[in-house]
Amino acid sequence: MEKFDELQTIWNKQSNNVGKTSAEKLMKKGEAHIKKVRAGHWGTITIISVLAIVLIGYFFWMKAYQKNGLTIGLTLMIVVMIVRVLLEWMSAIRFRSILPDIPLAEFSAKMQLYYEWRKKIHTIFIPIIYTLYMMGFTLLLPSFKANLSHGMYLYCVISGYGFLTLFGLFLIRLLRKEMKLLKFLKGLN
Amino acid sequence: MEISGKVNKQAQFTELFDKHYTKVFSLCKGYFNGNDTLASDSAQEVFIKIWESLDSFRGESNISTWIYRISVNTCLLYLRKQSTKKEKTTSVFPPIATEQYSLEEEEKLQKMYGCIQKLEEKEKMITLMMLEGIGYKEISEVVGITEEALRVRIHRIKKNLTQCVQHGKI
Repeated sequence: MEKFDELQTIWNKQSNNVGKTSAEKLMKKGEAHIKKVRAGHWGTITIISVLAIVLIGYFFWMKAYQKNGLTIGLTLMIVVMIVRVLLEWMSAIRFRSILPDIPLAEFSAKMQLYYEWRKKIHTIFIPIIYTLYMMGFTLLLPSFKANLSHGMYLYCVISGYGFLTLFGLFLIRLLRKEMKLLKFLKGLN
Repeated sequence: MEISGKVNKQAQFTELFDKHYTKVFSLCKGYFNGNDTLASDSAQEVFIKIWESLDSFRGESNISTWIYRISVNTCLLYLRKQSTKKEKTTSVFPPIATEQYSLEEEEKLQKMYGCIQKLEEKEKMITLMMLEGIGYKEISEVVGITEEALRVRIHRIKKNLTQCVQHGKI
């Protein structure tokens, strides 16, 4: 291994420019990150709760329970939104439970299991949720047409379907990214 | 009580930072094909995780093993969670010319980085830890294989790496 020893000597001669950082700076970043994670956690709960309250409020304000299409449409949207949030919440808890201080073999196996679970969410649950949400929104349209001005109705249709299309594209991008990661993790075994 | 606990944690973290940051940086630098920026960003992420998890360290392994585990696992997934734009930067080897190197040595070092990139991910990590002088027992605990299996792998890696630097093939 004489040649390798030579390589080792060359490797050891490197001078590393580690950049400008300090323990103090990183402690501050660490604290900020902890706060951000907590804020994100409560932020998600708040946003979803507000959305659910708005939808439920709209349900009663419109006396939707007296109108078939509106009842089914709003109920579908509320239920699938809650299911979607619960799934994301479960994913976040599951992801956070994989600590980075375990051996590489165990870490990659756990990450692989996590992304297999994400694959199931993306390929089974999300298409169902997306379709039901789209159906729910479509069922609301006759009520919008009857109760809103023509301009406002058009705005609701375009922005609603536009948002759903963009969101669908975002989900496809996310799926591709996570599947690439899963493929990489499988390659580690 | 809480304040003194926090002060202790800060002192412990500062000690760990002073002792291990350069080695963690070097590990990440090797993993990212000599890219200082990526190495610095990922090494900082490693130490942010160390700060966040320090309270949960139970002393079941050496603290250095614990730090290397976090380093290896963080570097492994660091780029894959970033944008593809950042991912491309690893294919560019930055100039590393210093006065310490002869032209021949500099060329060999560049080849070494290139050859390490050709290794499988696990072997890449093992190689980098070995080059950083981390003991076999500790590497085996970081990777999660037996010391015996590690010795066999390291023997093969050394042979392959030497061949690759000489002939450009693994």
